Amino acid sequence: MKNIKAFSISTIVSTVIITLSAIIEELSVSFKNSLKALTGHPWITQSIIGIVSFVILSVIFCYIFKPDNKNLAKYIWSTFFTALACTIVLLLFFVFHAQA
Amino acid sequence: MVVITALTSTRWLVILHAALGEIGALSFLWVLAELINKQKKNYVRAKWVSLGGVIMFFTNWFLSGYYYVTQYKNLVEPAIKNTNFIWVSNIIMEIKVDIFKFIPILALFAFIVILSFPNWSSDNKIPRKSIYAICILIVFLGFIMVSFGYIVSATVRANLGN
Repeated sequence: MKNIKAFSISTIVSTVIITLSAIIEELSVSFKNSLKALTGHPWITQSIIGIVSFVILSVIFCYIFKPDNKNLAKYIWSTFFTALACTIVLLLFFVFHAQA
Repeated sequence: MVVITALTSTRWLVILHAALGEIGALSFLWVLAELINKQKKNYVRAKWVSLGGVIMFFTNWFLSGYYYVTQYKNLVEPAIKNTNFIWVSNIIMEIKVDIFKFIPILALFAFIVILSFPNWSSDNKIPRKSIYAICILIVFLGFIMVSFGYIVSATVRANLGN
């Protein structure tokens, strides 16, 4: 069995990083410019940060965490609710931000 | 050469990225149906179909990214901005491009989870409901992308009058 705990936490962290960077990018011009400076476009930088953080964290967490087979449901549900929460946060943020 | 020219044209990019995204989302609906049938052959199919779904989403990631960065910002956004439908660009498209960034990662996670249970048909300790939920979420988010994309396309067509 794969180390689901490690992959779950990596997915959660990557999803949160992507969501937060999308929100901060809208609020801070300097942050947006620094993302743009890295690859030429903020979207590309955020996408690369998302996948690279997932891969690197998965490798690190697979070494740090021992597989926890007793709480598999907890980790998978946590990933589910984090992705759902990030979707709702992005939805609400852009609805209110567009009106501001 | 002709293929590359076609792939970089706006029309084909829109068609291809929409098709890949829809197939990717439908793959996880198929995976869900296979997993609900707790047979060994269904599990094997679910494994391969989820791998296919992951490949579709990652390929779509590159195509959509290329389209968004090169075509949308230069050709599509100006047709929406400065109209009554500016909310399509400021809300719908912004939400779409940001949610889209984590769908492939979520799909990859689902594939890894599915791969982790080779005894799917016989093991009663597998947290099946949570795995079904992840698949449903991927399908749901995939079709949110499709519907948002349709709204953007319809707005551009309405504004350009064709």
